[in-house]
Amino acid sequence: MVMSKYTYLDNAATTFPKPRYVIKEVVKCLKEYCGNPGRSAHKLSLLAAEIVYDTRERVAEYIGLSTPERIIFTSNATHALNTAIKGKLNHKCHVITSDLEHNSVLRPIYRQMQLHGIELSYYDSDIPLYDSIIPLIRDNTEFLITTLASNVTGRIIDTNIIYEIANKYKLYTIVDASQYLGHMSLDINKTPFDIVCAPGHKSLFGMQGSGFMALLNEETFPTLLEGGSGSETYNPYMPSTLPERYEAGTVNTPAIASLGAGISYLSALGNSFIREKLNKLTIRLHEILYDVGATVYGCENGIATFDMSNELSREVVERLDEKNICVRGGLHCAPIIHRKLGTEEHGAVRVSLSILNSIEDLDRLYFALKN
Amino acid sequence: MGTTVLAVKSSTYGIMAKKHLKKEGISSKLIKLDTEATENGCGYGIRIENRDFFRAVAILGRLRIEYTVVNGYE
Repeated sequence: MVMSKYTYLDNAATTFPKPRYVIKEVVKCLKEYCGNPGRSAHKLSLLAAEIVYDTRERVAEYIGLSTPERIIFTSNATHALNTAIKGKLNHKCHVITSDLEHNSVLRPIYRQMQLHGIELSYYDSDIPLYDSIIPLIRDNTEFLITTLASNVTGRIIDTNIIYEIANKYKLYTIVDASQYLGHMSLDINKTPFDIVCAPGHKSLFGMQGSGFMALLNEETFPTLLEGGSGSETYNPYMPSTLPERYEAGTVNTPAIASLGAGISYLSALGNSFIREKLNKLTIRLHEILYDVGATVYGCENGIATFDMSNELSREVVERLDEKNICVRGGLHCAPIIHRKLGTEEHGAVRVSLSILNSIEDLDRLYFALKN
Repeated sequence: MGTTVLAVKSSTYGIMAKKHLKKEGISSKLIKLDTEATENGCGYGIRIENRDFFRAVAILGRLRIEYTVVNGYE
């Protein structure tokens, strides 16, 4: 465990600290094998390429995908979501998304709406999914694009129901697993979403600069980026081969190595341990917020958003920062849910936990809020 | 005994092939190919011993790793 003078409770933004195992792998990469993978044939390039491939295999296994070449590395979830949304939403149609979405989903959709006349509906995440999604489906509905867990309230969306609805009505699914993976397990064999997007640097404990897009099927939709691919130099277009088609330019080898190490770390801990610890911390967090008289907007999956009476969210954040307690105020890049909660003017305070947090971290939060 | 080079679509497939061949006891080397050997200019191939050729291509076929035999590549 890496010790820190901070009580870090902003893990929905990025996890800190990273497990020692992850840090060691990054240092090893930078010192021992960080050639450019997939460009040359010398030993360092090939070593780097093998580590990148190993991480593809680990990510694929982690989400139940049997084809590692359909794991496309990106710089974060935003990059993955832009690649997916702009690649697929390139004609007039109707799209359904949720009222919980982050701007990394909303903004690419809005851009495609401007370009292609796409129509958009939002499902109400407070209503049972069958009742909120199905009435929105029209003849020209083609896509269901949804987060699997809110970065504001922590609300977890039932993946089985999302898949059932999408499957029944033949909707193409793009899911944002940013706040889901690492806390919850996803099995593509049980819920075969067409595209899964996730960052590596949140609960998967990779470095910033890591993320991925997982494709259920081999697809060649338009690319977001074009550039060097390490082969087919005379081809004026990106190759059709996966994953290289969607990985223009040099991939971030240290970040990918860190993601592989993070997934190995989580796999060693096991899903039961992770769920149990996170639940215990979330319950304690809820108790604390109740005890200090906070107005709690959501407390689930290690994420809680709240307001203190007579204090703006930024004032609470500043007060906690003076005690080296790191939380996030404001709107969390999720405009629709804040409008729905009535917090659109000043936002709210968000505490977000990782499995590396402790009850002692929450005790410090408690005493800081109480005072 | 000589060697044969099998051109694959990309370095990812080259590494995939190398790993799976190794599991089956076949050693191979991932090499860069130049315009001599590829249609679109530079690519990757795996070099195997000729004695392993038929077993190797059977394994690649089973894994659906596409390849082309590059003749006379040294």
